Amino acid sequence: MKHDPEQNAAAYLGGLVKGARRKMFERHMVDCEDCWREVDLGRKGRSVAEAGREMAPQVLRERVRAAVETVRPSRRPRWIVAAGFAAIAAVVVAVIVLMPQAEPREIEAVLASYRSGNVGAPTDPVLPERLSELELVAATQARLEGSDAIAHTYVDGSGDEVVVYVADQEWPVAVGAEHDNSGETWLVEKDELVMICLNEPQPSLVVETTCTTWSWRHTACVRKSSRCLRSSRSSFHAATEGRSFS
Amino acid sequence: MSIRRRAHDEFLEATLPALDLVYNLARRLVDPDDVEDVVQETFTRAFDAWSSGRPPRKVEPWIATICLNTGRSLLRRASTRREVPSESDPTLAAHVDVAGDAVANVRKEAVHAALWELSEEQRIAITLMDLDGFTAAQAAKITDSPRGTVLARVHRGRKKLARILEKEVDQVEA
Repeated sequence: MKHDPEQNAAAYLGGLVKGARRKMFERHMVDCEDCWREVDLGRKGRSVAEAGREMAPQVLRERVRAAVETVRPSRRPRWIVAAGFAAIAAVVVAVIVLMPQAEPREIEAVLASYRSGNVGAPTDPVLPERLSELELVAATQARLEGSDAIAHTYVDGSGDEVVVYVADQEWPVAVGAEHDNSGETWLVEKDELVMICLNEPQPSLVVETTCTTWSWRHTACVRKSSRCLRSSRSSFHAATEGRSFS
Repeated sequence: MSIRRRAHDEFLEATLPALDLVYNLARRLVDPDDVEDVVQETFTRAFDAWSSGRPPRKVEPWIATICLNTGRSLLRRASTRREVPSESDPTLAAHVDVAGDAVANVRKEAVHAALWELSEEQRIAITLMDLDGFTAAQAAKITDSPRGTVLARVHRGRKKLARILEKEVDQVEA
């Protein structure tokens, strides 16, 4: 652990330091005045902040109840209305202007593999065991139609699963994908799944689920995954040099 | 019971337990005069989403996110100046945890005033984790920030709070 008392104390009090590292830090604190002071001050601040917790006034509870009861519930979920219009618009556009675009078979194969949850034979990972907050739990051969890849299954701190498919050939761009400003990364949503692709430094396709409140999670997913993969470029090169995917 | 009635009742039963959480967040987000409006708008917006077929998996982080967005859009609309309330909030007397506990009330006011001396980011992070009880991961999702950033904001904010309220710290620990 790098000796930055403030950062160490924030991680320790936030529960990010676990197991043997936690015990090690606690032993270190006994001798290190700076770390001890940081943790002590952080704990005191937390106690005083918790003492500031307030209860909502009863009148506000009644006001909220009355306000909600005046709102008419939507008779039909908006998404059904929106989906109806979207479907009509899509059909019109398809008939008049476009022939339907086919999804590249590699992308279809990854989606099918992810959804089926079928895992191939265990294999050595080509990615690091940790990508920032993500922890590697399995590396398996993903036998996809037309290409081979290694599926790396990571979990984050909240137990959500992220699978990174690493291939030896560039991934094709999925239908409807949007590129970021650098043009190096693309992102697409497919039926509650998010796919993020980076073809450099190693062709990698990240697949994870969205959730109901996806607007902010979505952004966090993109940032997290891109950051993780970018920050691991050097590890990618070191780890994958000379490896075969067959 | 009509379908309409059931929708309201289901929503209120599921979300009203989060009222204190929303209230604590709104109190650290906008001027005292706007707090109740923000809380009310948070719940009406949430009901609109709920009845449109978008109920959340977990109510608390969902409604906290709506509250944060509601408060911030109000701040943008009104370009509200945020500062420590100069006068006592008239509703404060009604939300003391224990009726008649004047000491607790004074302490809460002191903590509230001290929270407004922090940066907005530190204040929101502390409110989410220490007052509303969210985990670092949940606070990170609600604020759309990396978890390490949230923890750093919380830690720096806590240190500043502890320094501002040295006497309060002693009382809390006593």
